Amino acid sequence: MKILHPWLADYIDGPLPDPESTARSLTFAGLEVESIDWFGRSTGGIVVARVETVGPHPNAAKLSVCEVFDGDSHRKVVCGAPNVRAGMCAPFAGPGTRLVNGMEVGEREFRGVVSSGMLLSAAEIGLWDDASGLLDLGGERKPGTPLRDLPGFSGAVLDVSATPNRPDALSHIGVAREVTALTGTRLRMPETDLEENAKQTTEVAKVRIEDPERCGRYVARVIEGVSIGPSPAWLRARLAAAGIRPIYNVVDVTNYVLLEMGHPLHAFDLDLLDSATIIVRRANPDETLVTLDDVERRLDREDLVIADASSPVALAGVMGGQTSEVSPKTERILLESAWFEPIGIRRSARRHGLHSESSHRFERGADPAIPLLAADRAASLISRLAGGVVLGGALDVHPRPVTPQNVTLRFDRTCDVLGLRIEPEDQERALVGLGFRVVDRAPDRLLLEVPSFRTEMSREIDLIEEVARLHGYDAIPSTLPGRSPESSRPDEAGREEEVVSRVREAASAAGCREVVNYSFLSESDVSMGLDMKTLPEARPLRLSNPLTTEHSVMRTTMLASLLGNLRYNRRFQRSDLKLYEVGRVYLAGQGDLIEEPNRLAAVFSGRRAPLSWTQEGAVVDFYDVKGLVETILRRLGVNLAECQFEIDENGLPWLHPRSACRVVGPSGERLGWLGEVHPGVAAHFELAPGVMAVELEVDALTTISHLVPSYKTIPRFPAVYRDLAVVVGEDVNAEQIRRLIEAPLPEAEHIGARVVDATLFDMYTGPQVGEGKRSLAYAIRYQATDRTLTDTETSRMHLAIVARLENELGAALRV
Amino acid sequence: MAAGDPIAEVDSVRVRFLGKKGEVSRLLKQMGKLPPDERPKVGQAANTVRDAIETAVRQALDNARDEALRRELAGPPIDVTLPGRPLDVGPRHPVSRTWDEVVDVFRKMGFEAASGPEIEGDFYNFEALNIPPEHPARDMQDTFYLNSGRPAPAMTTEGGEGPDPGDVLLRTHTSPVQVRAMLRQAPPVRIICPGKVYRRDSDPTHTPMFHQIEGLWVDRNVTMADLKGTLQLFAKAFFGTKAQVRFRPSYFQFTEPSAEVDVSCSICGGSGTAAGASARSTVEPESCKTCSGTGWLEILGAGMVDPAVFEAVNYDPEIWSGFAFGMGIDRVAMLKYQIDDLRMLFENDARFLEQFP
Repeated sequence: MKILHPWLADYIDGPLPDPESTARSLTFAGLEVESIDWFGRSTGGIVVARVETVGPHPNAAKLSVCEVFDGDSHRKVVCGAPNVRAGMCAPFAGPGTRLVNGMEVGEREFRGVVSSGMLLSAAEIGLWDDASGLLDLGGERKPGTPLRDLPGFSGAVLDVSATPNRPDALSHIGVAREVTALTGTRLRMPETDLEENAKQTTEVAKVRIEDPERCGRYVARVIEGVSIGPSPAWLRARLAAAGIRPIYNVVDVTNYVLLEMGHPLHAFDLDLLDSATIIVRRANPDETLVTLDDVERRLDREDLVIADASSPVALAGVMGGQTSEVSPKTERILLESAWFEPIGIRRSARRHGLHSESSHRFERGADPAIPLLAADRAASLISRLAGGVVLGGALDVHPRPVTPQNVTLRFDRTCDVLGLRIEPEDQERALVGLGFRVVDRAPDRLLLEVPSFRTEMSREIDLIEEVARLHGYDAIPSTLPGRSPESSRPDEAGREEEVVSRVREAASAAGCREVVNYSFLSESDVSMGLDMKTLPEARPLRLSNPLTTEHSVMRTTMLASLLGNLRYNRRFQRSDLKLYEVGRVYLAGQGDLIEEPNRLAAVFSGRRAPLSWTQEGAVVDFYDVKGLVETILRRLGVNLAECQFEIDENGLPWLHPRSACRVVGPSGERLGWLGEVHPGVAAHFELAPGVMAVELEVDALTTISHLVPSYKTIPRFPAVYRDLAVVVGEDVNAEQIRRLIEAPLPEAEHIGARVVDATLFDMYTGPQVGEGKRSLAYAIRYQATDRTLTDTETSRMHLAIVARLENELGAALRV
Repeated sequence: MAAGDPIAEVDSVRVRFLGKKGEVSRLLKQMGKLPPDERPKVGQAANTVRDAIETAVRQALDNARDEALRRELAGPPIDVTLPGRPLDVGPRHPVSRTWDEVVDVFRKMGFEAASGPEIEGDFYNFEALNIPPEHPARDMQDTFYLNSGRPAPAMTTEGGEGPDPGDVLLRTHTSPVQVRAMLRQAPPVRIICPGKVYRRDSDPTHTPMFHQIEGLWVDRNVTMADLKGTLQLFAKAFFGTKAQVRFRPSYFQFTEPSAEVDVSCSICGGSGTAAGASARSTVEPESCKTCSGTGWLEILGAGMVDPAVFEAVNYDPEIWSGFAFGMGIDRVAMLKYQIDDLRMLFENDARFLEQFP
C-alpha cells in the first residue's frame, strides 16, 4: 500500500523522522517498505496563478482569452478549458517551462492571439488522469506559489508491503501507530465530531441483517442535501498520490477514510434504494448484480449481498452495484460502514475474480470496533466538503458484539524464545505502544488486552513476536544450538545420494551434460506419439489446473523430457549431444497408490566424440549406452557377470525392436532398459533416427550396490594371455561364448589356476567367415595364484576351452 | 656406412663376419683340417680377429645409435598448437551442483538429509503448517492440484494411521517433509530437506517448478539466537568468510517469530557498487546489479517453529522448541553464477549448460 509520508504526520504527536529513516525503521520492524517515490516530481516550474479576467477569443468560439497573474507579472493566456472563470486559481506554466510530457511551453499563437504561457489540467501536470478542465485550486491561493508547496502536492510515497497478518497496517493511521511505537511518540486520532440534525436516521432508512454470521455489524449514516462535485485539490492530490483516482467528493471521502483508517466504506444514493431499506442477506441463485466495474455478476447462495427491498445493490464487502451508484444528481447519501466475516468475503472475491481495496481488507480481518468511528469521520468530512446535513443517530445494527481478548505474556518466555534478555518494562512498553492494554500484572507476567485491530494476536507467541520486532532483530545474538544426547535418526538419504553421485560421475565421464526438467509435460509428449494403451506404465497423472497444455500431465518417463531437450537444442544446430538427468517420474501405481520413483536417464545423439581432427566422426550406437550402463554398475560394485541384458519383445514399445533390452540385476531386480529410440518416437520429437537412450531406477541400483569394496590380494605372479578367435553361427550370442570361456575348468582347478577373464577385442562378419557366421576374438587371461603358469599348462586349458566351444556351440577355431 | 639405416648396416656387417655362417665361424670350422700343433696359434689369431671385429662392430653400433638418436631429435618440432584430443566430460547443471553444495554445508553442521513426496496432501502442505483453508497466506502460494481419484500418500505414525492427507496437490514448499519427519519420530529432529516444489506462476522471476531447501532443528532450549548463528555459519561457509547475515521481521504461517534473512552481497561485498565500474568513468559509481545496489541479497525465510505446528504433530511446545528456515536453490544458483533469467535453468540449452564446466 502507498503511504504518504506527509500524511502520516497528521496522526503523530511529535517529530516524524525523514522518509528514508521512517522507511528503514518500518522495514526492520516488519513492515517492509519496498520503494520510496516522490509525488509532485512532475510539477517543477509550475506555479499558482490567479485568473483575473476571462474574455472571448476573437476567432474561436471554444477558446477564451484570460488575463492571468502569476505572482510576478500579468500575462495574456489563451485557454480552452470549460471550467475557466475569473477569480479562480489554477496551475500555470510560463514560457520556458518543460511539462511532464516533454513539451516546452513557449509564447505561442492560437488563431491570431499570442498566449504567454499555459493554464493546466491535472493530467497535463502528470498528477492524475483528469484532463476535462483546469485543476481548480480554489480562490484563496497566493499567486506565484510553486505548486509543490501547496498542501498535498508533494512528498515521499512509501510503498509499504504488509504481510497477511497485518491488516492493521493497511492504513495511514495503522502505519502511524507503528511509527509512534517505534519512536516513542503518541498517536493522534482525526476529528470525528459531528453536527447532527434533529431529524433522525431512523426516520428515513432501515437496516436489517439476516446473516449475522457473515455480517457482524452494520452502521449506516444518512447525509441529506449534498451537492456532488469535485473534492478540494488537496484531497484529490492525496488520493492521487496514494494511487486512487479522484471522482466526486462523496466517493473521494469514502476512499480517503479507507486510506486513513483502513476501513472500507460505501456510499449509496439513498433515493435509488427501494424503500430506503438495507437488507444484508445471502443472494438467491437467480439474482444478478451489475457491479461498479460494469460487469454483470451471477450470484449464488454463498454470496453475501447488500440488498434493498427488492434486489441486491452491492456484493457485500467487495464492490458496490451500479443501480444505487452516487451520481452528480445525488442529493441524499446512505453511508455504509460494516464488518464482514473474512472467509466469506474471500470466497466471494475469488469466485467473482474481483479483488478490491475493500475485499483486500475485509478478507484479512477489518477492525470490528471501528465501523461507527469510520462512519462518523466520513459523514463529518462529507458534510464539510459536499455540504448537506447529517441526520441524528447512526443506525448501528450489531448482532455480534466483539469481546476483547486477553492474553498472558511470561517475560521469561520471551527471553527463552529469542535467546536474548529483554527487560520486563521494555516488553511492556513495546506492547502498550502498539495498542495493547495491561489488564493485570504479576512480577513475572502480564495479562494484556488485545486491541480490536489486531484480532489475530491470540497467543503468547504472537506477543513475543511483537516485542521482538519492535526491539529489533539486530539485537539478537548469534549462537549455535546445543544438541541433546538423543540422536536424531540415521541419514537415510545418504546411501542413495552416494549412488546418485557415482552415477552422475559416470554419466559426466561419458560426456553427458546434466539437465533439469520440469516434472510436467504435454499430453502428447508424455505419450511420445505412441498409443497410450501400449505403454506398460499407466496413464499419467493430470493436473486439474495446469498453467498451459505444455505442462498439463506429470511425467511417467524421463525419456520424453530428454527427447524434448534434444528437440529444443536441434533448433540451435546442436544435434551432437549427450544429456542425462536424475529426477522423479510420477506413476499411478498398484491399487490407488501414487509412486514417485527416482530415475537416471540419458540420451545420446549424433557423433560419439566431439568434432576433432583426432577422431573419425563415428556416430553413437547401442554399445555407447550399454557402456554407460556397465560403467555405472561397475562403479556401484555390482558384478556385471551377474546382471542380464534381456530382450523384452513387447515391453519396450518406445525403443527400436531390434536394438533394445532390459537390464536385470543379480537377483532379478528390474534396473531399467536401454536401446535405440524407436524411429517413430524420434520423429515425434522432430529427431532423426539413431538416438540412443537409457533409463535406470535409482532405488533398484541402490539396493544392489556395494559401495564399499573389500580388497582382494593381488597375485604376485604375472598372468598369461592367450588369444582365441572362434567362428560361430549368428544365432550364438556373445554372452553364451563368454560364459563358456569363463566357466570353471577342471583342467585348471587341479593345477590351482583359472581363467580370470576374457576380453572380446575383435568381431568380424564377412566373406572370410562365410554367410550367417561371425568371428569373435578374445584375449583370455589365465592365472595361478602361486606361480607363473607354464606354456604347457596354459595350452592345456586353452584347448579345453576350444573343445567346449566346439562341442556346445558348434564353434570353429579361426586360424 | 652412411646411407640407409645405419643400425641395420652395422648389423649386416656383424652377421657377415660374426654370424653362425659368418667369416669367422667359417674360419674356425676349418681349424680341424690343420695339424694339431698349428691349431692353438691359428685359433688364437682367429679369436683376436673376432675380438677386433666385435669391438669395431660394437663401436660402430654405438655410433649408429647415437646418429639415429641425433637425427630423431634434430627434426622440426611438431605443431604444438594443434588442439588436443578432447576428453568430453559432461558438466553438472548449476542447480544440482548448488543443491549438493548447500546440503553439504548443513550436513557438516549436524543436519541429516530427508526427502518426501512431491505429490502431497493438503494436510501436510498446508493444514499441519497452520495454514487453514481460506487463509490469505494461501494466496502467496498458488497451488497446482491433481484430480486422479487417487489419494495423496498417507503415512503411519507411532500412534497408527497418520492424518487424512486431504486434497491432492503438488507441494508448494518442502515443509511437508518436516511435518512427516515430526509425525514419524520423537524429538530431537535435525533435518535438511532439499527438493522440487511447485507454484502456479510463470514469468522471468518465477517458474512453475523450482527447488527449495528447508532445514528444521527441534530440541530443548533452541532459541532464535541459535537460528541466527546457524544461518551465519552457513553464509560464511557458502558465500565466504566475510559474509554477514541480517534478519528482518516477516511473516510465515508456520513460524513465529519469523524473519526474512539477507546475506551481504557476495558480488560487491556488501558495498552496493559494481566492481570495475570505472571503465565507463562515470562520476557516480554504478550500482551492483546482483543486489541492485542495496548490498544485501534476500535469500532465506526463517523463524521459530510455531507452537501450532508442534501441536499438529503432538510435540509439547513447552518442552520442545525449534527453528526452521528455507531458501530457493535456484535463486542461490542464479546469484552465484550471475544468471539473470530464471527460465534459462529449465530450458536446458546446451549453450547454457556448457557454461558450467
